[in-house]
Amino acid sequence: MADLRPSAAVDDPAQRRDLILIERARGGDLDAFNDLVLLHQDQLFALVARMVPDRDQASDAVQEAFFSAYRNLAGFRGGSVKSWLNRICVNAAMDAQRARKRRPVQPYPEFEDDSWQPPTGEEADPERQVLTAERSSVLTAALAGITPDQRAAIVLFDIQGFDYAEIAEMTGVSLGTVKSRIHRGRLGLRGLLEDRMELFRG
Amino acid sequence: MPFPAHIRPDHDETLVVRLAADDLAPRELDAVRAQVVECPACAQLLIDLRSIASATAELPTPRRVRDFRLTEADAVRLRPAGWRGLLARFGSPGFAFVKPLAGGLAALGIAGLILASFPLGFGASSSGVATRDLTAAGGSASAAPAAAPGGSGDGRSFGGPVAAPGGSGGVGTSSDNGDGVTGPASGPEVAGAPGATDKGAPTDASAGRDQATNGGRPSTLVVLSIVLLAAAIVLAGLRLIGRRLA
Repeated sequence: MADLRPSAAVDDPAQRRDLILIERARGGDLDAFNDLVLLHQDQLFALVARMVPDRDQASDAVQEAFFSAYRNLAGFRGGSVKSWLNRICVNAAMDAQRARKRRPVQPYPEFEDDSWQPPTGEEADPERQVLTAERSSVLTAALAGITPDQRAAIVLFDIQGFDYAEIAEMTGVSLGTVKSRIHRGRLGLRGLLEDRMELFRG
Repeated sequence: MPFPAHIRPDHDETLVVRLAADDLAPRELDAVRAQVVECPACAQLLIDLRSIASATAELPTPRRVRDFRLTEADAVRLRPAGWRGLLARFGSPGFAFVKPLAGGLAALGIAGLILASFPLGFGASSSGVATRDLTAAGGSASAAPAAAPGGSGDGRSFGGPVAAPGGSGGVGTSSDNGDGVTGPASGPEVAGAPGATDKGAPTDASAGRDQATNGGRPSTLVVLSIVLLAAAIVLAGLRLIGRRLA
């Protein structure tokens, strides 16, 4: 089992905190693991929900990912806990998408209720909000229209802000494949949005 | 995806896509910028791709609808104890080496069995080969002029074409039943033995059987190959069960 004791080399306080929690969880401390869940569940759900268009399936995938993380605590070999959890969630999301192919559901119900959060703030004038909502709606639908691999790469790169190397590690493909998926995915989105591009050019 | 209608066929839209992602090498930048300047469709594609990327980054964040913390019951269920826990360790990433190891052992085992089944002398018991040659030499064991001294018949010899005088155990004890499967005999192969002709020579299949067995006992190579295959199967099985448990 790898020695996870945070060393001086781990400068990032968040990373040090995560490593301490992982170490305690490995020792059987369930509360420590649940602290880790609390710290990361929002970001991980946001990631998976963008990759798996059905929200219930996305929730199930995230829950399954945390189960998997708990089962495989002994397999964590150090490094970034966040990347490790993201990698498990990406795999769970991929599994969920494969299952979804067998049982198709209505994609992206997010605008049917208020549990999805449109950005607000200084730009919260009604006309702009309507435009933003419509743009999000058509873009979300277009995202559902590209391949799962391309969608995963775009979500990780454009929305989650990971770099190419991190995405390659998480998805288990080469750097070139990641770039290709992002490029082809964007071209695919542009093709799907061709009739609605005025929403984005404004 | 085909080129958008207005992009010239000699313009590479992939380069525009890479430019939009700031993913071009410095030496490519000038050429692509020139392409964008002279081609309105390329310029529009660049603007559209950047707009889409920026809109994607601003998509609303989905709010989770469930708390994903684990309960005590989950924890108990997820951490197998006893022999299940032991097996589950084989499914952990730390044991990822087991799969290629099992593959390698299986490949070695299969290769060993193949070698043992070909009449190349590998894995042959010295007695089997000697006997075959004795048989080929004239249909009578006593007609063979030589057999290796001290041939042990233990199957450890990888019988090269060594001619050695003075046979012992094989002579007279070999039975010539015409199919190359003979009784115990000693000594490696006798190359160019006088009187050796095709007459009575065993078939390839029977030669293979000769080499793979030693008077009914499998040769060391065969045994080793089977052990390797068995080890590979056990390791692969442990990994599979471990992954299922994990």
